[in-house]
Amino acid sequence: MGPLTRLWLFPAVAALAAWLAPSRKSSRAVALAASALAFGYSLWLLVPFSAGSGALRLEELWSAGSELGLRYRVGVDGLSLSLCWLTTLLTLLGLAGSGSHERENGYWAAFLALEAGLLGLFVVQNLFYFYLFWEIILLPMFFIIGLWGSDNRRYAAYKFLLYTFLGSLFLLVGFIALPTYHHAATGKWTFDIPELARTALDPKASPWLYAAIALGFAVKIPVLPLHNWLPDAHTEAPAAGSVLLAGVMLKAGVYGFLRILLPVFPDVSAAALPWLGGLGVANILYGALCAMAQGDLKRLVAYTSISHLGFCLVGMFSMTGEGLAGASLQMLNHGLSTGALFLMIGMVYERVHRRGVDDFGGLADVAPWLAFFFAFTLLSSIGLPGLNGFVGEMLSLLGMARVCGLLAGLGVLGTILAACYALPAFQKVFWAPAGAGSATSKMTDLTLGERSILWTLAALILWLGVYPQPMLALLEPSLTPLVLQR
Amino acid sequence: MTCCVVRHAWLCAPLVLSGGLALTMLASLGLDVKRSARAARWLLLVSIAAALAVLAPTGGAAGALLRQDGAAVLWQAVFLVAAIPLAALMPLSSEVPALLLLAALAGMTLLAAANHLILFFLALELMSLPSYLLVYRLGRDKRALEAALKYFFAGSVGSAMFLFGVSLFYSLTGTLSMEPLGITSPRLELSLVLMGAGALFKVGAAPLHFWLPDVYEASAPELVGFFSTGVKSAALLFLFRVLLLLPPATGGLGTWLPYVSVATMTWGNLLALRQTSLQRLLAYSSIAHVGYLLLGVWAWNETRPLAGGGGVSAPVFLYAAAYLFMSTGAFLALRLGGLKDRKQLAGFGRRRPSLAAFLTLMLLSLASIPPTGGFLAKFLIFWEAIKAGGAGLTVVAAANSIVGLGYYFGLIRDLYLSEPGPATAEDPGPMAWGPRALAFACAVPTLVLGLWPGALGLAAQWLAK
Repeated sequence: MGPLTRLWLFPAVAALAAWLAPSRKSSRAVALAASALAFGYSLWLLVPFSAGSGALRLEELWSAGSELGLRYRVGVDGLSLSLCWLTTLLTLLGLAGSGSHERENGYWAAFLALEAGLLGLFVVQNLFYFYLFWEIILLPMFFIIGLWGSDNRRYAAYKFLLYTFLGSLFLLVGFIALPTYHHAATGKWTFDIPELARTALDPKASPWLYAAIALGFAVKIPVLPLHNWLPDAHTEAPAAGSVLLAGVMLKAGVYGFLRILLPVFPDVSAAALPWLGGLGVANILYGALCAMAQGDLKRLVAYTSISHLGFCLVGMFSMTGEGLAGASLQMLNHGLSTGALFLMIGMVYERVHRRGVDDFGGLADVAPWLAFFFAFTLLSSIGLPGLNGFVGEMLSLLGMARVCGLLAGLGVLGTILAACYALPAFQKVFWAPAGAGSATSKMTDLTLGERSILWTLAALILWLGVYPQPMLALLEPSLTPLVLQR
Repeated sequence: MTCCVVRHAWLCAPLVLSGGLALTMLASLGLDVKRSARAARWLLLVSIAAALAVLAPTGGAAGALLRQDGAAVLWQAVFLVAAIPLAALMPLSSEVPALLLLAALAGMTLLAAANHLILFFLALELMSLPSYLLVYRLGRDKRALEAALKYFFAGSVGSAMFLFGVSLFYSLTGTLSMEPLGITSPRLELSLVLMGAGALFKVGAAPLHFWLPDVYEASAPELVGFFSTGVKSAALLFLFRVLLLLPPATGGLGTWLPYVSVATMTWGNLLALRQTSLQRLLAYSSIAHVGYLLLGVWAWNETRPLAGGGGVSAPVFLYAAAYLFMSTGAFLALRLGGLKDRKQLAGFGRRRPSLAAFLTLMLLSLASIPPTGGFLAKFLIFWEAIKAGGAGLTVVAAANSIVGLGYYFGLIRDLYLSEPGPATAEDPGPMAWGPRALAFACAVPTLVLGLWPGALGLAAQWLAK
C-alpha cells in the first residue's frame, strides 16, 4: 500500500472509529486527532514528492481488474497535491471550529468520510475510481446538510443530492463511453486518465462525450444555469459543512475539467472557449449581482462563490499559461478565504443564532478581533492587491485578455461589483449603529482557539498574496501540457 | 458457495432437494404438528445446504436432457442462497410451507439445468405452482388469496404462451432439444416471441407486470425477498435459455427487448415514486430493476458470439447476484423492523440505529450508489449497453436512475431526517443472532461486490464452463 492510498484510507478508517466511539467526547477527539494527522501526513508527502520525477509522482498501480481497464491507479502532480492540502487543512480547521457543544458521533464520522472521499478523488488516475469517489462524497454531505444543518435543511439536502446526481449520471455515461471510443480507436480497454489523454478520439463523437462529462462537472462547480442547488445547500449546511462544500467540493468540478477534459479533448476544449468562457463571465457577474441583494450573510457568501468560480472558468478556458495558473491558484484562494468567511459566520451564528445582515450593527465595538479577520478575509475575497484573491483573479483575467479582450473586460467588471457587495455588507454589520432588536449586544469576541484557526488562514492568505511563486512553481508542471499552442 | 464436495453427474441439486422433500414428508408422518414443523425447518435448511454443497459444473453430452454447465451452477447457487432467509424466517405452523418451498426450489434448479423444452416446461410448472400456494399460505391478510389467484392466472397465461411457442417451435424444427439451432426464420422468431413472453410474464416486465405489485404487497416480506430475487433470477435465466435457441441479434424477441426494457424501468420507477406502502414501493422498484436487467440481456444478445460460446451474460449475472443481496436485505430489514408503511420510517433511524443503517446500505445499493454491488452492477450493464451501440438507451436508463434516487433517498430522508410522528412501529425488540447473521450475510457481499470489479472476470470464467 503506497502513501497515497494511506492518505485517503486513513480518514476512512478513522471515520469508522469515530462512528463507533463510545462517547461523543471521544468521537470528537478521534476526529480532531485523525484530521490533524491527515493534515500532517499530506504536508509530509511533499518530501517524497519533491524527490520524485515525472508528471505523476508517488504512483501506485494495482494489477487487479486491468484486463477490463478498471485497475486501481493513484498518483499526484502539483495540482492534486495542492488540493489534498486544501482538503486536509479545511477539514482540520472546520472540525476544530465546530463549536464546543457536543456533536453526535455521526457528525465527526461524516466529516472524516467526506475527507476520505475528497482525498481519494484528488489522487486517483482512473475514471472508474474517480467516479466512485465522486459519488461517495455526496453521501456524507447529504447527511451533514440534512442532519446538522439549519431550519430548511431537509429541503436543501434533498435538492443538493438530486441536482448533483443528475449531473453525475451524465458523467457516468460519458465515463463509460469515453473508454469505449478509446477502445474502438486503439483496441485496448483502459480507464486510466493519462492513457486516455494520449489518444485522439473520433472527432464526431468527441463533442457529445465532452458535453456529457462537462455537464457533470458543471453542476458541481456550479456553472450558470445549473447553480440553483448551491445557495440553499451552503446556507443550510452547518459551518464546517459549508467550509468543505465551498472550500473543496466545488473545486472537484474545476479539477475534473483540468484533470480529464482539457487533457483528453484539447481541441473540443478550445472550441468550447466562447461558450464556457462566456458562462464563466456570466457566473462572475450574476453571482456578484445576486450577492448584492442578499440579506443573509451565508447566502451572500454562497453567491460570491458562484462569482469566484467564474474566474476559475475564465482562466481555465483561456488555455494560456497565465490563465491556467490563475484558475488553479484561484481554487486554493477561494478555499481559504471562503472557508474563513463561513467559519466566522458559523462562530457568530453559534453565539447568537442570527446571521442576517440587518441583525447586527456596530459589531466592531463588541468583537474587534472578528471585525479584523472579517475585513481581512473580505478584502482578500474581493481581490485587494497584496492578498491572495488578487493574484488568482488577475492571472485568470490576464490569460483571458490574451485570447478574448471582451470577455476579460467583462470579467474585470466583476471585481468592481465585488466591492459593491462586500463593503456595504461589512459596513452595515460592523460599523453602522445597532438598530432595535439587534443581536450585537449578545455577541462576544472570538476566543483564543478561534483566533488561532483564523490566524492560520490569514497567514496563508497573506503568503499567497505576496509570494505566490512557490505555489505557482508547484502547479506549473501540471498545467504546461494543457496550454493550447496557438 | 459452490464448493465441490462430491462430483457425480447424477448427484445434482434437484435430486437432493427432492430427497429433502421426501424426508420432510416422512418425518411429518410420525410427529405431531408442532414437532413436524420444527423438523421441517431443519430439514429444509439442511437440504438447501446439501444442494449448495453438491453444486458443480459436470457438463452434459450434447442433446442430453440435463446440462449442468457453469451458468446452471451459478444460477442454482443464486436460487438456493435466495431461499435461505425465507427458510430461516418463515412462520411454520405445519410442514406444508417447507414442502412447497422445497418443491419450488427443485423446480428452479431443474429449470437451470434443463436442456429439453418439455423438461424445461415441467421444471417451470414445478417452480410456479408451489409459488402460488406459498403466496396464499404465507399471506399477511385477506388480500393474500386475491393476490395468489391473480398470480396463478397471470402465471398460467405465461405458461400457456410458453407452451404455445414450444409447440410452434416443434412444428417448425421437429426437435425439442435446447441446443442452439444456428438458423432462423420469421416463424421461428415468432415462436421465440411467444416463449419469451412467458419469461417476461414471470420476470414482471411491463406491460406483463400487473400481477406483481399486488402479490408483493400481500405476501410476507421474507417471501417477497425470495420472489424478487430467486424467482426473478429463474425467469431471467429462462429468457437467456430461450434467446440462446436462435443465433444472436435475430429479429423478434431481441428487437423488442429495448422497448420492453425502457417501458419496464420507466413505469416501475414512476409508480414507485407514488407509493406509501413499503412493500408495494419495493415491488415497483423491483420492476424498475428488471428494466435495467433487460437492457443487459439485450446488449448481450446483440454482441454474443455466433457459436453460443461464452454462455450467458456475466454483467447480467453479476447484477442478479448483487440484486440478490440488496433486495433480500431490504425485505429482511422490513421484516425485522416490522415496517409496513412509509410513515413508520419517521424516527426509525434513532430508534433502531443498526437496523436503519443496514436498510440504508441496501437502499444505497438499490439506488446504485458506490461503493455497493448495485453500483458496480449498473456500471457494467451500462458499459455493455454502450458497447452494443445503445448509448441512447443508456442515457434513458441513467435518467431513470435519477427517478429511482428520488424515492430511495426519500426513504433515507424519512429514516433519518424526519421528526418521529405519532405512528411509531411496534418494536420487535433486539435482534437475535440468526437475523443478525442474515443481515451481515447481505451487507458484506453488497460491499464486496461494489469494491471488487474483478468479480466480473471470475463470473465470466464460470459462466463459460
